[in-house]
Amino acid sequence: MVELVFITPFVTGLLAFVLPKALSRQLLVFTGAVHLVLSLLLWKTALRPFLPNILPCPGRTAVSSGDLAAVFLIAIYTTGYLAAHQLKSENVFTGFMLLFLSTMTMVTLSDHIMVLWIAIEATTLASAPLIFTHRSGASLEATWKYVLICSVGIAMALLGSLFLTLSMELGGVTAALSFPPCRLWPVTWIRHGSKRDSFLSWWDTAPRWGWPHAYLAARCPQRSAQPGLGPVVRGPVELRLFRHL
Amino acid sequence: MGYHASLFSGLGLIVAAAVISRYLNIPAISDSALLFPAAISLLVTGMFLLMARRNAIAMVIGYIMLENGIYLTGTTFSTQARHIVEFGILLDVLAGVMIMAIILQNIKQTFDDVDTSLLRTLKE
Repeated sequence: MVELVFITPFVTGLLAFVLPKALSRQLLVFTGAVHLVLSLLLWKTALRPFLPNILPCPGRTAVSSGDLAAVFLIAIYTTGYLAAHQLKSENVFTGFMLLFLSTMTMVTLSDHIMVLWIAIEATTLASAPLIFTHRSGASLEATWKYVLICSVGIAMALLGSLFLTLSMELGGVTAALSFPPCRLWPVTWIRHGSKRDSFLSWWDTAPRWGWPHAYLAARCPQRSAQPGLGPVVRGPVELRLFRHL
Repeated sequence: MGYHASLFSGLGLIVAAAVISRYLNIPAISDSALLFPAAISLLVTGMFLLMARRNAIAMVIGYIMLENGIYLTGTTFSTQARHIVEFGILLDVLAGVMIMAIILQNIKQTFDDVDTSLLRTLKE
């Protein structure tokens, strides 16, 4: 089941909030390893989606999922970092780190436009508390600006998606809102120009996960994860969107 | 921007939204003439509030107005996307605004004010 790749870190992320510190550190590495194995299985197309309309055929996005797994070896570094720096809210940090991994994996795997939107929004929300863990004035400022920029961007993306469904309704297209049936959309697009506007609003206002101050104000593991993973996650999404423009 | 200028700008935006909506012929909203102008007004005034105010609470209110505008637009425009909009707004407002509220509380504790002009140390 392809969904396991993002469900596993999601569940362990929720568990990390309530487990003792030492156990949550081990859980971080364990989840990283499980995620790596599942991503490799996905790469080998050994996993099939439970919801094929929402998740794409494995293999197309498996490379980015594999990248995510490789980058998540940061988890091993994170455990050492957490042991050296006694964080006040270590459970919160570990929990959100795992949720961040889960939502980012969901972004790379989702093929339904609204599921993609939900995953992007969830990624923004999961990464915001990670930026704030220093609890300094600069990290507070970075978090505030990051949350505001990303939230407004993602709100515009929701509006763009609405225009997309409207153009489908006006064009009489009954296909699902996922990327493969979107190949029918050029017909709708020619008749109703709003599709292009919808995609452009996605493109123009995509969350600025790579905003340098956001990750510079964050803790080291997040500082290494965010700029590295942002393009990995955004890349396939943008490629998919551009292919239809 | 000052309060009087903001009020006049807001009025101007509402009038512009009412004028623009007259020229758009959308069958789904032909029954209620005020629905679409209200949605567009909420959207643009929310955006305006976000850009024109420095107070963090006013900015959060602007964001909620923007979300309300999107919700109203979505539910009036499209019959297919209603449940999607409901879910999207639920996630945005519930989680997003909760996180914003936590950050606001911390801004108040750290800077003793919620004026975002104090948050100017990080620049591109």
